[in-house]
Amino acid sequence: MWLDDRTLELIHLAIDGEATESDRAELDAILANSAEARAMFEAMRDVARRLDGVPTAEPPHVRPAVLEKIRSGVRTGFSPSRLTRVGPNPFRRRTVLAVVYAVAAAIVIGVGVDRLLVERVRPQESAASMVAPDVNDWPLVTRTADVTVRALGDRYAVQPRTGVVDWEQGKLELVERMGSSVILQRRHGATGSAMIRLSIAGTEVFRTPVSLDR
Amino acid sequence: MNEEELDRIAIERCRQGDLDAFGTLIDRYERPVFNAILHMVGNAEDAREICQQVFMKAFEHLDTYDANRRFFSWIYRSAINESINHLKARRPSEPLSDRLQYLRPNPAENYEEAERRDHLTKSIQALDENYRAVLILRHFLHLSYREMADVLNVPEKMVKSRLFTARQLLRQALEAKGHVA
Repeated sequence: MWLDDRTLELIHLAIDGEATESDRAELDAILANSAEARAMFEAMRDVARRLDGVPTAEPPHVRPAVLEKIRSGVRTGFSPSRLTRVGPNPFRRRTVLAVVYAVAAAIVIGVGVDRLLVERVRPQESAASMVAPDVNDWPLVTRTADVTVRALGDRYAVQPRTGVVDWEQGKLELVERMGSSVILQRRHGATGSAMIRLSIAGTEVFRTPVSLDR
Repeated sequence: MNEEELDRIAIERCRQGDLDAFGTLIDRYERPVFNAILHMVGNAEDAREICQQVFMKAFEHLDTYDANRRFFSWIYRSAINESINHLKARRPSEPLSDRLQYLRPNPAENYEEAERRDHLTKSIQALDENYRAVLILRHFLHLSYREMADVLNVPEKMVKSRLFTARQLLRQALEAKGHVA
């Protein structure tokens, strides 16, 4: 089937609803006189109908994951102009020192550690405004292919490769969440050990008890 | 208030630090963005990841977004470009059949219809990525020639030329498999 470029253009314009009145009149005249043009018009219209009939796939609902990543990666605020990404070594040594000094000072002056830590974290619930200590410097408790667990004082950093971290809520409380990583803290008065678990796609892949009597 | 105005307001709120406003943009555009990527790359898992990347990058580059342009053009362009980058990075030896995981048959569909749909989507996948992109923008996202030109950053004339050729190539592929009357 051979058709000139103008005829082909008119056919596609008509199929896409982009033909002007003059285009449409020109096409109608051609179609009236050319079986080849009519066949091509029908063929292209059929292709267009088939394409239009392809169903829409259900999207995976990426909103929670995207917002979580943004929250965990933003340090100085939500405004993109002030956006600072968390790098490969995200946590600052200075912050660790600040936390250690603050804890030591609190002990010296008799302020409860729990109260101090809670006050440090709670006023700024937004992950974007949270400053995380350098957990990568904390002593290692255990490491597997899926997860690394570290501890410093009564805090525990659980850093999974992926998945969801779960813990004994009665003995440990959440201090910070950075993406899928969490920093947990021993609840006041909790003793013995507490279980930390990791699940990937709903299946538990790891569990370890951590000592609370440190 | 039309969608364009809603987008503009949401972007302004994002710039002022409202992350939930960005969530509303994701909600509004996730379906078309995901579907465009899915048909570009032919794999649902890859499409999900690219879709996330597209929105992450959009957030990170909101400062560079020109408010005089429509948000959907910007985000669709990113979706197409990210998909093309993904395709280029993918090993060429990967068999086509492994990539078409999203072609799950609809139980209500009869065998013949399912087979025809399957062949149609495979034929789309077999096209050059530039042809595939115009088919997706036109038939799955329902954009006009002008909007497609804006998304692809090419002249409208080129959009038309690619679209016309793409449909003719697709027709030939369907004919070769006996899927047309």
